[in-house]
Amino acid sequence: MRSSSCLSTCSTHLAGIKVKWNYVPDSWHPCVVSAGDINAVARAAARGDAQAFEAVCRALQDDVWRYCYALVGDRELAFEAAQETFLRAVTAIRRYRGEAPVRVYLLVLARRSVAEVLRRERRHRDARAYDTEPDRTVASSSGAVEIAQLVNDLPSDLRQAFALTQLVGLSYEQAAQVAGCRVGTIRSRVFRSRERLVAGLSEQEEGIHDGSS
Amino acid sequence: MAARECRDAREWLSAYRDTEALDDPVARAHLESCGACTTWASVLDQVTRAVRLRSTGSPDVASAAIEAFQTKRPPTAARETARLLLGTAGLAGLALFALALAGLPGTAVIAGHFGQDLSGLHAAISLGFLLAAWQPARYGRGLLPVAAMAVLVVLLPSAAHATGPVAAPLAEAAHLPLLVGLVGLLLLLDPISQRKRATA
Repeated sequence: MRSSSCLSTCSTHLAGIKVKWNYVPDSWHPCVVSAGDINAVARAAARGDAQAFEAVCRALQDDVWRYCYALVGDRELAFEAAQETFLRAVTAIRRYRGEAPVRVYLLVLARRSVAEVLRRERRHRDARAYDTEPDRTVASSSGAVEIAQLVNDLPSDLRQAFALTQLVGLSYEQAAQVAGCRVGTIRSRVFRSRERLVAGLSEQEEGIHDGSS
Repeated sequence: MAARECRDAREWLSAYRDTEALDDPVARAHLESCGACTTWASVLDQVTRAVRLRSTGSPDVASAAIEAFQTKRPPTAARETARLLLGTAGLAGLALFALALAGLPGTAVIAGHFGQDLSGLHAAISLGFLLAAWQPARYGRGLLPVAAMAVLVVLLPSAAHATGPVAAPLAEAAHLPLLVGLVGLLLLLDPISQRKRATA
Protein backbone atom coordinates (compact mmCIF):
# COMPACT_ATOMS: atom_id res chain seq x y z
CA MET A 1 0.00 0.00 0.00
CA ARG A 2 2.85 2.30 0.91
CA SER A 3 4.79 1.67 -2.25
CA SER A 4 1.84 2.78 -4.37
CA SER A 5 1.91 6.23 -2.80
CA CYS A 6 5.69 6.53 -2.93
CA LEU A 7 7.20 9.55 -4.55
CA SER A 8 10.79 8.30 -4.34
CA THR A 9 12.95 5.76 -2.57
CA CYS A 10 16.47 5.48 -1.21
CA SER A 11 18.49 2.83 0.60
CA THR A 12 20.69 2.89 3.66
CA HIS A 13 22.55 0.23 5.62
CA LEU A 14 21.56 -0.43 9.21
CA ALA A 15 23.30 -3.16 11.18
CA GLY A 16 24.64 -4.46 7.88
CA ILE A 17 21.13 -4.75 6.44
CA LYS A 18 20.03 -2.86 3.39
CA VAL A 19 16.89 -0.92 4.30
CA LYS A 20 14.79 0.74 1.63
CA TRP A 21 13.14 4.02 2.59
CA ASN A 22 10.05 5.26 0.80
CA TYR A 23 9.14 8.90 0.79
CA VAL A 24 5.40 9.23 1.36
CA PRO A 25 3.95 12.76 1.41
CA ASP A 26 5.09 13.70 4.90
CA SER A 27 8.26 11.75 5.66
CA TRP A 28 10.56 8.81 4.92
CA HIS A 29 9.31 5.36 5.89
CA PRO A 30 11.52 2.27 5.98
CA CYS A 31 10.43 -0.90 4.19
CA VAL A 32 12.35 -3.50 6.16
CA VAL A 33 12.23 -6.67 4.18
CA SER A 34 11.85 -9.49 6.69
CA ALA A 35 11.07 -10.19 10.33
CA GLY A 36 14.62 -11.47 10.92
CA ASP A 37 16.08 -8.22 9.59
CA ILE A 38 13.96 -6.01 11.81
CA ASN A 39 15.28 -7.89 14.85
CA ALA A 40 18.87 -7.15 13.77
CA VAL A 41 17.95 -3.50 13.21
CA ALA A 42 16.40 -3.45 16.70
CA ARG A 43 19.68 -4.71 18.16
CA ALA A 44 21.42 -1.76 16.49
CA ALA A 45 18.80 0.52 18.08
CA ALA A 46 19.60 -1.06 21.44
CA ARG A 47 23.20 0.10 20.95
CA GLY A 48 21.93 3.66 20.53
CA ASP A 49 21.58 3.96 16.72
CA ALA A 50 18.86 6.59 16.24
CA GLN A 51 18.24 5.73 12.59
CA ALA A 52 17.76 2.07 13.50
CA PHE A 53 15.29 3.07 16.20
CA GLU A 54 13.33 5.10 13.67
CA ALA A 55 13.32 2.17 11.24
CA VAL A 56 11.95 -0.15 13.94
CA CYS A 57 9.25 2.35 14.98
CA ARG A 58 8.12 3.04 11.42
CA ALA A 59 8.09 -0.65 10.54
CA LEU A 60 6.02 -1.67 13.58
CA GLN A 61 3.82 1.41 13.91
CA ASP A 62 0.88 -0.21 12.08
CA ASP A 63 1.00 -3.38 14.19
CA VAL A 64 1.10 -1.46 17.46
CA TRP A 65 -1.69 0.83 16.31
CA ARG A 66 -3.94 -2.08 15.20
CA TYR A 67 -3.41 -3.90 18.48
CA CYS A 68 -4.07 -0.82 20.64
CA TYR A 69 -7.12 0.13 18.62
CA ALA A 70 -8.58 -3.36 18.81
CA LEU A 71 -8.11 -3.41 22.59
CA VAL A 72 -9.52 0.02 23.47
CA GLY A 73 -12.03 0.49 20.61
CA ASP A 74 -11.55 4.26 20.61
CA ARG A 75 -9.26 6.22 18.26
CA GLU A 76 -8.24 8.85 20.80
CA LEU A 77 -7.35 6.34 23.52
CA ALA A 78 -5.67 4.04 21.01
CA PHE A 79 -3.52 6.97 19.84
CA GLU A 80 -2.56 7.70 23.42
CA ALA A 81 -1.68 4.04 24.12
CA ALA A 82 0.27 3.56 20.88
CA GLN A 83 2.22 6.77 21.38
CA GLU A 84 3.00 5.79 24.97
CA THR A 85 4.20 2.38 23.73
CA PHE A 86 6.85 3.99 21.54
CA LEU A 87 7.82 6.46 24.26
CA ARG A 88 8.37 3.50 26.61
CA ALA A 89 10.41 1.90 23.86
CA VAL A 90 12.87 4.83 23.92
CA THR A 91 14.36 3.42 27.13
CA ALA A 92 13.17 -0.20 26.89
CA ILE A 93 14.84 -0.82 23.51
CA ARG A 94 18.25 -0.48 25.19
CA ARG A 95 17.47 -3.69 27.09
CA TYR A 96 16.54 -5.57 23.90
CA ARG A 97 18.97 -8.43 23.31
CA GLY A 98 17.07 -10.28 20.61
CA GLU A 99 15.71 -13.14 22.75
CA ALA A 100 12.21 -12.57 21.32
CA PRO A 101 11.16 -10.91 18.03
CA VAL A 102 11.13 -7.13 18.47
CA ARG A 103 7.49 -7.13 17.32
CA VAL A 104 6.58 -9.25 20.34
CA TYR A 105 8.78 -7.05 22.54
CA LEU A 106 6.94 -3.90 21.44
CA LEU A 107 3.50 -5.49 21.67
CA VAL A 108 4.21 -6.46 25.29
CA LEU A 109 4.97 -2.77 25.90
CA ALA A 110 1.74 -1.93 24.06
CA ARG A 111 -0.25 -4.26 26.33
CA ARG A 112 1.12 -2.44 29.39
CA SER A 113 0.45 0.97 27.83
CA VAL A 114 -3.14 -0.01 27.03
CA ALA A 115 -3.67 -1.16 30.63
CA GLU A 116 -2.23 2.12 31.92
CA VAL A 117 -4.30 4.26 29.53
CA LEU A 118 -7.50 2.39 30.43
CA ARG A 119 -6.73 2.77 34.15
CA ARG A 120 -6.24 6.53 33.69
CA GLU A 121 -9.41 6.77 31.61
CA ARG A 122 -11.41 4.94 34.30
CA ARG A 123 -10.10 7.37 36.95
CA HIS A 124 -11.02 10.39 34.80
CA ARG A 125 -14.41 8.90 34.00
CA ASP A 126 -15.11 8.29 37.68
CA ALA A 127 -14.07 11.86 38.40
CA ARG A 128 -16.27 13.29 35.66
CA ALA A 129 -19.03 10.67 36.05
CA TYR A 130 -18.92 10.63 32.27
CA ASP A 131 -19.12 7.52 30.15
CA THR A 132 -17.39 7.62 26.79
CA GLU A 133 -19.01 5.60 24.06
CA PRO A 134 -16.48 3.47 22.15
CA ASP A 135 -15.79 4.62 18.61
CA ARG A 136 -17.84 2.31 16.42
CA THR A 137 -17.23 3.90 13.03
CA VAL A 138 -14.05 2.12 12.17
CA ALA A 139 -14.10 1.30 8.52
CA SER A 140 -15.55 2.66 5.36
CA SER A 141 -17.45 -0.35 3.99
CA SER A 142 -20.57 -1.50 5.83
CA GLY A 143 -19.40 -5.13 6.10
CA ALA A 144 -16.22 -3.99 7.78
CA VAL A 145 -18.19 -1.76 10.16
CA GLU A 146 -20.35 -4.74 11.19
CA ILE A 147 -17.25 -6.84 11.85
CA ALA A 148 -15.63 -3.95 13.71
CA GLN A 149 -18.67 -3.74 15.97
CA LEU A 150 -18.66 -7.47 16.59
CA VAL A 151 -14.94 -7.42 17.39
CA ASN A 152 -15.46 -4.48 19.75
CA ASP A 153 -18.18 -6.45 21.53
CA LEU A 154 -15.89 -9.41 22.28
CA PRO A 155 -14.75 -9.78 25.91
CA SER A 156 -11.30 -8.26 26.38
CA ASP A 157 -9.35 -11.54 26.67
CA LEU A 158 -10.90 -12.89 23.47
CA ARG A 159 -10.44 -9.55 21.69
CA GLN A 160 -6.78 -9.52 22.63
CA ALA A 161 -6.12 -13.02 21.27
CA PHE A 162 -8.12 -12.28 18.12
CA ALA A 163 -6.35 -8.95 17.51
CA LEU A 164 -2.87 -10.41 18.01
CA THR A 165 -3.41 -13.32 15.64
CA GLN A 166 -5.82 -11.93 13.05
CA LEU A 167 -5.15 -8.18 12.93
CA VAL A 168 -1.45 -8.11 13.77
CA GLY A 169 -0.72 -11.54 12.29
CA LEU A 170 1.30 -13.11 15.10
CA SER A 171 1.65 -16.86 15.44
CA TYR A 172 -0.17 -18.44 18.40
CA GLU A 173 3.17 -18.86 20.18
CA GLN A 174 4.09 -15.18 19.78
CA ALA A 175 0.58 -14.10 20.77
CA ALA A 176 0.91 -16.21 23.92
CA GLN A 177 4.19 -14.42 24.73
CA VAL A 178 2.53 -11.03 24.36
CA ALA A 179 -0.61 -11.97 26.29
CA GLY A 180 1.34 -13.82 28.98
CA CYS A 181 -0.63 -17.07 28.68
CA ARG A 182 -0.27 -20.53 27.16
CA VAL A 183 -0.48 -21.33 23.44
CA GLY A 184 -3.51 -23.57 24.10
CA THR A 185 -5.29 -20.64 25.72
CA ILE A 186 -4.69 -18.49 22.64
CA ARG A 187 -5.96 -21.29 20.38
CA SER A 188 -9.09 -21.63 22.48
CA ARG A 189 -9.66 -17.85 22.68
CA VAL A 190 -9.25 -17.39 18.93
CA PHE A 191 -11.78 -20.16 18.35
CA ARG A 192 -14.25 -18.71 20.85
CA SER A 193 -13.87 -15.29 19.23
CA ARG A 194 -14.61 -16.79 15.85
CA GLU A 195 -17.62 -18.65 17.21
CA ARG A 196 -19.05 -15.36 18.48
CA LEU A 197 -18.22 -13.48 15.29
CA VAL A 198 -19.77 -16.17 13.08
CA ALA A 199 -22.88 -16.24 15.29
CA GLY A 200 -23.09 -12.44 15.26
CA LEU A 201 -22.68 -12.19 11.51
CA SER A 202 -25.24 -14.95 10.92
CA GLU A 203 -27.74 -13.14 13.16
CA GLN A 204 -27.17 -9.88 11.31
CA GLU A 205 -27.68 -11.59 7.94
CA GLU A 206 -30.87 -13.29 9.18
CA GLY A 207 -32.10 -9.90 10.36
CA ILE A 208 -31.45 -8.40 6.92
CA HIS A 209 -33.25 -11.28 5.19
CA ASP A 210 -36.22 -11.06 7.61
CA GLY A 211 -36.43 -7.33 7.03
CA SER A 212 -36.37 -7.64 3.26
CA SER A 213 -38.94 -10.47 3.03
CA MET B 1 -25.61 -25.55 20.74
CA ALA B 2 -23.23 -27.48 18.49
CA ALA B 3 -22.58 -31.14 19.36
CA ARG B 4 -19.19 -32.23 20.68
CA GLU B 5 -17.98 -33.44 17.24
CA CYS B 6 -19.07 -30.18 15.65
CA ARG B 7 -17.22 -28.16 18.28
CA ASP B 8 -14.02 -30.20 17.96
CA ALA B 9 -14.09 -29.99 14.17
CA ARG B 10 -14.69 -26.23 14.22
CA GLU B 11 -11.91 -25.66 16.73
CA TRP B 12 -9.57 -27.67 14.52
CA LEU B 13 -10.66 -25.65 11.46
CA SER B 14 -10.03 -22.38 13.31
CA ALA B 15 -6.44 -23.39 14.14
CA TYR B 16 -5.91 -25.00 10.71
CA ARG B 17 -6.87 -21.77 8.91
CA ASP B 18 -4.14 -20.03 10.93
CA THR B 19 -1.66 -22.78 9.97
CA GLU B 20 -1.48 -23.72 13.65
CA ALA B 21 -2.81 -27.29 13.29
CA LEU B 22 -1.91 -30.27 11.15
CA ASP B 23 -4.40 -31.93 8.85
CA ASP B 24 -7.00 -33.99 10.73
CA PRO B 25 -8.90 -36.40 8.43
CA VAL B 26 -11.58 -37.09 11.08
CA ALA B 27 -12.37 -33.41 11.59
CA ARG B 28 -12.22 -32.76 7.84
CA ALA B 29 -14.65 -35.63 7.15
CA HIS B 30 -17.04 -34.28 9.77
CA LEU B 31 -16.95 -30.77 8.29
CA GLU B 32 -17.75 -32.15 4.83
CA SER B 33 -20.67 -34.29 6.02
CA CYS B 34 -22.30 -31.95 8.58
CA GLY B 35 -24.55 -29.28 7.04
CA ALA B 36 -24.38 -26.94 10.05
CA CYS B 37 -20.58 -27.10 10.08
CA THR B 38 -20.35 -26.47 6.33
CA THR B 39 -22.46 -23.32 6.77
CA TRP B 40 -20.34 -22.34 9.80
CA ALA B 41 -17.14 -22.74 7.75
CA SER B 42 -18.47 -20.55 4.95
CA VAL B 43 -19.47 -17.76 7.40
CA LEU B 44 -16.03 -18.12 8.98
CA ASP B 45 -14.49 -17.39 5.57
CA GLN B 46 -16.69 -14.29 5.31
CA VAL B 47 -15.51 -13.14 8.75
CA THR B 48 -11.87 -13.72 7.84
CA ARG B 49 -12.23 -11.77 4.59
CA ALA B 50 -14.04 -8.89 6.32
CA VAL B 51 -11.40 -8.71 9.07
CA ARG B 52 -8.58 -8.59 6.52
CA LEU B 53 -10.40 -5.86 4.58
CA ARG B 54 -10.89 -3.85 7.72
CA SER B 55 -9.08 -0.58 7.09
CA THR B 56 -7.70 1.13 10.15
CA GLY B 57 -5.08 3.50 8.81
CA SER B 58 -2.40 4.11 11.40
CA PRO B 59 -1.85 7.73 12.41
CA ASP B 60 1.68 8.89 13.19
CA VAL B 61 2.17 7.50 16.69
CA ALA B 62 5.95 7.10 16.59
CA SER B 63 7.35 10.58 15.80
CA ALA B 64 7.38 11.80 19.41
CA ALA B 65 9.39 8.73 20.47
CA ILE B 66 11.79 9.02 17.53
CA GLU B 67 12.46 12.63 18.49
CA ALA B 68 12.89 11.67 22.15
CA PHE B 69 15.36 8.93 21.20
CA GLN B 70 17.46 11.37 19.18
CA THR B 71 17.68 13.85 22.06
CA LYS B 72 18.25 11.20 24.73
CA ARG B 73 21.98 10.58 24.87
CA PRO B 74 23.22 7.17 25.99
CA PRO B 75 25.42 7.28 29.12
CA THR B 76 28.92 8.26 28.00
CA ALA B 77 32.23 7.75 29.81
CA ALA B 78 32.52 11.52 30.44
CA ARG B 79 29.05 11.62 32.00
CA GLU B 80 29.82 8.64 34.20
CA THR B 81 33.11 10.24 35.31
CA ALA B 82 31.25 13.46 36.15
CA ARG B 83 28.76 11.51 38.27
CA LEU B 84 31.62 9.76 40.06
CA LEU B 85 33.27 13.12 40.82
CA LEU B 86 29.99 14.51 42.17
CA GLY B 87 29.45 11.47 44.38
CA THR B 88 33.03 11.62 45.72
CA ALA B 89 32.75 15.36 46.42
CA GLY B 90 29.46 14.84 48.28
CA LEU B 91 30.76 11.97 50.40
CA ALA B 92 34.07 13.71 51.23
CA GLY B 93 32.27 16.93 52.23
CA LEU B 94 29.88 15.03 54.50
CA ALA B 95 32.75 13.10 56.09
CA LEU B 96 34.66 16.34 56.90
CA PHE B 97 31.48 17.89 58.30
CA ALA B 98 30.88 14.84 60.50
CA LEU B 99 34.48 14.98 61.80
CA ALA B 100 34.18 18.66 62.66
CA LEU B 101 30.81 18.13 64.33
CA ALA B 102 32.14 15.26 66.42
CA GLY B 103 34.97 17.54 67.67
CA LEU B 104 37.60 14.82 67.43
CA PRO B 105 41.14 15.83 68.46
CA GLY B 106 43.02 17.53 65.63
CA THR B 107 39.88 18.67 63.78
CA ALA B 108 39.72 22.12 65.42
CA VAL B 109 41.37 23.69 62.35
CA ILE B 110 38.78 22.15 60.05
CA ALA B 111 35.93 23.21 62.36
CA GLY B 112 37.21 26.82 62.46
CA HIS B 113 37.46 26.93 58.69
CA PHE B 114 33.98 25.43 58.37
CA GLY B 115 32.60 28.34 60.37
CA GLN B 116 33.69 30.76 57.66
CA ASP B 117 32.55 28.43 54.86
CA LEU B 118 29.09 28.02 56.38
CA SER B 119 28.63 31.80 56.46
CA GLY B 120 29.55 31.86 52.78
CA LEU B 121 27.12 29.03 51.98
CA HIS B 122 24.41 30.79 53.98
CA ALA B 123 24.94 33.86 51.81
CA ALA B 124 24.91 31.75 48.62
CA ILE B 125 21.59 30.13 49.54
CA SER B 126 20.13 33.55 50.39
CA LEU B 127 21.22 34.71 46.94
CA GLY B 128 19.47 31.64 45.52
CA PHE B 129 16.24 32.66 47.28
CA LEU B 130 16.47 36.05 45.61
CA LEU B 131 16.99 34.44 42.19
CA ALA B 132 14.01 32.11 42.81
CA ALA B 133 11.87 35.09 43.80
CA TRP B 134 12.86 36.79 40.56
CA GLN B 135 12.43 33.78 38.18
CA PRO B 136 10.60 30.98 40.07
CA ALA B 137 10.30 28.49 37.22
CA ARG B 138 13.99 28.75 36.29
CA TYR B 139 15.72 28.74 39.66
CA GLY B 140 13.16 27.49 42.19
CA ARG B 141 13.13 23.77 41.40
CA GLY B 142 16.91 23.32 41.48
CA LEU B 143 17.25 25.26 44.72
CA LEU B 144 14.64 23.24 46.59
CA PRO B 145 16.73 20.13 47.49
CA VAL B 146 19.73 22.31 48.44
CA ALA B 147 17.61 24.55 50.69
CA ALA B 148 15.86 21.54 52.25
CA MET B 149 19.20 19.89 53.10
CA ALA B 150 20.60 23.18 54.45
CA VAL B 151 17.59 23.56 56.74
CA LEU B 152 18.02 20.00 57.93
CA VAL B 153 21.74 20.21 58.76
CA VAL B 154 21.66 23.76 60.17
CA LEU B 155 18.37 23.94 62.02
CA LEU B 156 18.34 20.52 63.67
CA PRO B 157 21.48 21.14 65.78
CA SER B 158 20.18 24.70 66.35
CA ALA B 159 16.98 23.33 67.86
CA ALA B 160 19.10 21.52 70.48
CA HIS B 161 21.04 24.69 71.32
CA ALA B 162 17.85 26.78 71.52
CA THR B 163 17.02 25.26 74.93
CA GLY B 164 20.23 26.81 76.40
CA PRO B 165 20.80 30.34 77.78
CA VAL B 166 18.74 33.29 76.46
CA ALA B 167 21.58 34.52 74.18
CA ALA B 168 21.74 31.19 72.30
CA PRO B 169 18.17 31.24 70.93
CA LEU B 170 18.76 34.79 69.69
CA ALA B 171 21.95 33.67 67.89
CA GLU B 172 20.16 30.66 66.39
CA ALA B 173 17.35 32.91 65.14
CA ALA B 174 19.86 34.02 62.48
CA HIS B 175 19.10 30.70 60.74
CA LEU B 176 15.39 31.45 60.46
CA PRO B 177 15.68 33.05 56.97
CA LEU B 178 16.65 29.57 55.71
CA LEU B 179 13.41 28.11 57.05
CA VAL B 180 11.32 31.00 55.72
CA GLY B 181 13.01 30.64 52.31
CA LEU B 182 12.27 26.91 52.20
CA VAL B 183 8.59 27.48 53.02
CA GLY B 184 8.49 30.15 50.30
CA LEU B 185 9.99 27.73 47.76
CA LEU B 186 7.49 25.00 48.64
CA LEU B 187 4.57 27.42 48.28
CA LEU B 188 5.99 28.72 45.02
CA LEU B 189 6.64 25.36 43.38
CA ASP B 190 3.30 23.71 44.10
CA PRO B 191 1.33 25.84 41.57
CA ILE B 192 4.15 25.32 39.01
CA SER B 193 3.84 21.53 39.31
CA GLN B 194 0.07 21.76 39.06
CA ARG B 195 0.34 23.84 35.89
CA LYS B 196 2.81 21.33 34.39
CA ARG B 197 0.45 18.43 35.21
CA ALA B 198 -2.47 20.29 33.63
CA THR B 199 -0.55 20.97 30.41
CA ALA B 200 0.96 17.45 30.22
